[in-house]
Amino acid sequence: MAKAAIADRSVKEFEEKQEWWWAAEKKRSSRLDYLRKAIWKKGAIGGLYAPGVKTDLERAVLQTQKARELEFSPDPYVIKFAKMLAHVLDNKSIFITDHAQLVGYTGSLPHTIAWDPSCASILNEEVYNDPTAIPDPAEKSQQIIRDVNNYWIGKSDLDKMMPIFDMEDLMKMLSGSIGWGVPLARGGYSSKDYEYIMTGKRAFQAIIDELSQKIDEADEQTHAPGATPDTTRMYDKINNWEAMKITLEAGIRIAKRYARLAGIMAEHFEEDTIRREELLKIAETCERVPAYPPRTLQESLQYDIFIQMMSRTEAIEGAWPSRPDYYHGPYYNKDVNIDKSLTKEEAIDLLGEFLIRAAEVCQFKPKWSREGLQGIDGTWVWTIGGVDKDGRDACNDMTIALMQAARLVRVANPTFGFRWHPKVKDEVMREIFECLRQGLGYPNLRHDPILIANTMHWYGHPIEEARLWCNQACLSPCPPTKHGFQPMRMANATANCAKIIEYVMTNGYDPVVNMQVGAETGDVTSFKNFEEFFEAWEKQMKTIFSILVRAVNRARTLAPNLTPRPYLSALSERSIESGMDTLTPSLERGNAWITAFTWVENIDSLAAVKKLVFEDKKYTMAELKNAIDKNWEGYEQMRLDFVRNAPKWGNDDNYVDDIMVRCLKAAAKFSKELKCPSGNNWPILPENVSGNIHYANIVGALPNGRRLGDALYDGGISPGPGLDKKGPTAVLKSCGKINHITDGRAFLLNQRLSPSQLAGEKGYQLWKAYMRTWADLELDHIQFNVVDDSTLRAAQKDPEKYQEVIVRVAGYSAHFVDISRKTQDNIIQRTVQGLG
Amino acid sequence: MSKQILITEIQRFAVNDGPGFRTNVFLKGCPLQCRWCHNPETMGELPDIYWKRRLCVQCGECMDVCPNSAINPPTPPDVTRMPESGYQKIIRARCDLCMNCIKACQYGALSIVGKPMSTEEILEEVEKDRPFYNNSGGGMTLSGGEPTAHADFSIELLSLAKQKGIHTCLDTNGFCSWTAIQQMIEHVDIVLFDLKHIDAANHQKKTGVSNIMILKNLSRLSETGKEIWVRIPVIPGFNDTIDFHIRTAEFLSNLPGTVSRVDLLAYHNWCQDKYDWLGMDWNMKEVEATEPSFLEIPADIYREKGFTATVGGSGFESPEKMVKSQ
Repeated sequence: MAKAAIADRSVKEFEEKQEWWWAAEKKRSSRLDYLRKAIWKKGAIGGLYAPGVKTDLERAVLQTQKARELEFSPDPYVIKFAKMLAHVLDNKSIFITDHAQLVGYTGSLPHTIAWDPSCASILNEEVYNDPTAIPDPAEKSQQIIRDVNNYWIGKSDLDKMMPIFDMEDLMKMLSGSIGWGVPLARGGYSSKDYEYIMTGKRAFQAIIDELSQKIDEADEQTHAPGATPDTTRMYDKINNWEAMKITLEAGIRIAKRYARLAGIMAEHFEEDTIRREELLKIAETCERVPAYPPRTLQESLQYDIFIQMMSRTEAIEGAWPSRPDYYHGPYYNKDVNIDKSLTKEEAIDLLGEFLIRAAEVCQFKPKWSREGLQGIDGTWVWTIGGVDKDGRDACNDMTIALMQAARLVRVANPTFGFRWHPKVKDEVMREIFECLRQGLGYPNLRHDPILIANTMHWYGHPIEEARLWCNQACLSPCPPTKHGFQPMRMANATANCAKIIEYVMTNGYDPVVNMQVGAETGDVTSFKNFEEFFEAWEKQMKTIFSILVRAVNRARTLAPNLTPRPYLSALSERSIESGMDTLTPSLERGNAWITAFTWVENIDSLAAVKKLVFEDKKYTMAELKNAIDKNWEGYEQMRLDFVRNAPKWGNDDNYVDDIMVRCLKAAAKFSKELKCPSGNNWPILPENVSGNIHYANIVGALPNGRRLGDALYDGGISPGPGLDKKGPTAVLKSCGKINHITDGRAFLLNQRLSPSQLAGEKGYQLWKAYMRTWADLELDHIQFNVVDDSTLRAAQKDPEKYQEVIVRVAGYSAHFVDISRKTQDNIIQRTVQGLG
Repeated sequence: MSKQILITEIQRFAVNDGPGFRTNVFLKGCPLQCRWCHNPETMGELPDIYWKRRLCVQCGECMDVCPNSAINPPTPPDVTRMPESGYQKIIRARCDLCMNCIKACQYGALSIVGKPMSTEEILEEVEKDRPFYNNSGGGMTLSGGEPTAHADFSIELLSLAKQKGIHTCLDTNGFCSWTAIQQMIEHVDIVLFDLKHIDAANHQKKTGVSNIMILKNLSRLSETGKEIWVRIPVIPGFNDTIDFHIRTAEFLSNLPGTVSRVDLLAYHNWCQDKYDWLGMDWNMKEVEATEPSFLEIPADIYREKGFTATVGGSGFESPEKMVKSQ
């Protein structure tokens, strides 16, 4: 759309036409508009980074430089690693975006994506082989990359771990058929001890002081008369405490570099007096945090950004656990309502900027990760709403302000997960509804009472801690408390569950990667009844889950020594207290889960086999096996029979819904037999992100009528696209047959509603009544996609015009035009419930 | 098993047919033949067969099993997929509804419309959305076709629903004996009374029947004090004039009892596929759908007369929206 055309039209006009992105652009301040447009789109499109986005070589070079320097130093690895981090932080380039009031970025320039060379050589090879992201001049860059890569071969985290893993399991995982990710403590989803660092009681300097004291005491103890195993262990503790201290001190130093830069810009370069004031404010803020606890909203947000930026220097983060309204809300209240140092508009502006600063963050990720997370860098589902530790409503003015800010900046990442409970006020519900109606795709809604009970049930977190939960990744509640938080959830405990049913048909042999991956459950044609078939299914399920969990357990056990996290430890009360790396399993209760990608295919396949083969005897198992071996080619009529004439999940039909519940209960039972190194359980969490597309060419033909190459269902416990023929009430009813406390960790449900249904006050009343029933049925999650087909079809034809259309794709939200054609088709195919 | 009746559809998550979330039960068979009918499959008393040209691959299996030579031979699907081709799979005049062809069709192109169901079976389905009724004031809406055309069955179904504590709406065209209505409304919370035209001649012309009995029934119904929502499908060229609405508003305000609200329902032609599937010609398919917001002006005519009125009949409309002049 031409610029003039936008200028001529009013906000109201755009809103009436539901062109929310243009309305937002007109509504937001010019400062926010500038900042929103000044960031680069980092999420990969169909697995490729956008043109102009380049890999950041600076950090890799700095880290390699320091690693070489320290190679023969007698320092223990944890200290060496802390020194490398400090070296990167001390020397990386920093910048301040024009008009910005918040600073800090993972890369050296706004268009760069940070590359951590110390994680895995297989990642480094991808950097070398990703020509579109290699900075110019290419030849020189390639030489640098080669040099860096050559150094880290055999020395990176994964390279060190691989030889000591179970080789058979490892090969199965790396085949890419059953899992998604690698078992690494420095690449995944880190939760944090927010109760320790975000409650205003302490910041970096106080922790440094405490560490110094600990070190002094320990030093004294080790030199006192006597020698016991305790004394011996003390040396390791001292090392850990030293390493923690190094990282925190480096954190304070880089903040002061920002302060200095802002000061210099203000005093020597800036002519605009207002901007000069802003720069001086930045300088003051960065002098204050992260060294000392914040005093204002700006300091609090800046503190958070520094914490996150450093965390993303220490590790590759796929998530961003956060509960912004809970931890920043008191500062918002103080500035806006008590001191009145900020107007509400200024505060919303600042929150919008906070969302933008988060939205631009990106780290170089392997292609399988980029394909699984179309259009975004990670799943940053910030948790808002909920209750406090005493169970009182925790929603505050900032909860509302955040949602208002989100509608102004309309970023696809971060998104919000709203903790719904019966005490949430109507005004807050209206804000959520407004976000949904305006097509943001978020907040998703989470059933707080159910999830608190779930968190207690699976891991035994005490209720006061369970009530403080925030998402560790997309959907998994984790208390950000001393013993509650899980320092690392490794992405490879992500099972491609469609393989379970596939392996039942193939006796565990994977025809796509040509390898025996599953269990040998016997020739499928020999099964005499459905019970035997189901027994094989259970065995395949257990086999796949075990391969993945064994690797994570092994990595978690090795992590404190091989891949320590001194910075994350420095933010953890339990590590400060114990002197042990925060990854040490004995320090936490455990909050492990298996993400179950492509789960519902199992249910529809089992139902089809039960009905058409074992009950109606319309086909023999040999006929089915033959058709599946041939990828249904030449058996189209038969295939359609399996698609159309077998019961499908999501239609409130007990025949198939009972199979869903049976499968989940079998998995839930087994997840209590599996144990994490902390001794706790491994419940499953069905969701897909965009794994349904990633796995399209990896999962073979299935008894639900799916062919190799077809997109899988879009995830969680959402019914297959177009197969939920009885409407949205039936979908909720089906999902309500699952016990969302004891049958698993969390269950993603996508629902698409048409904009016409949600128009006006009646739309709100309809949605609210629907949500009340959702709550009565005790579902733990629901997310809404409120975009109609015609908009999406138009966006496919003319992507330029629809850059801002956001859709929800299983567990996250992305800009529609950024995702692959296949994902787009898949979204459009989803039933638009009750159009009209 | 008690008596069964033909049901074309039980539609859950209906949000425009009475208050809240409703389950619509569509009975088959209607004494009126409205030209614009949006549910042509509910008109006839007997089962019907849909043939969906888009899904038909012209395999010919249906022809092989038809005992009455009522199936046209296969023709290349790229031709038959076009409605303009005029091709129809079924020669309806020869068809005796044996349904062999439907069993033979593997592609879902042929399907039966009208499933015999007992009151128990219907209520089992209706019961499924009870959690939604509780939170929205919703329930079952008995619709059609014409429920009063199957008075005994409808009375039984409605009374059983009420016994189970389910809120009931009766959606009727009012073309029946007063006794039928009288017996039925005992078990009905709200009557959704369809009003097509107040002029007898116009009514006769476009619906095939006179409106004398209908208007009389509406009048008597209002006397009973039963809650009534009058629903007027606004059809281009039939009842879309301002004059019609002024006179209708006048008529409604002169009724002996009260009408709780008036719903204006916009005409659309999205049902044209259904006519095609039934092998019926529909001469209104080129008439463009009315933009619902255009009906706010006539709605104001009713509002000015003191009625609450909606466009679209949402079961979630807020009270202010229905009375205020837009």
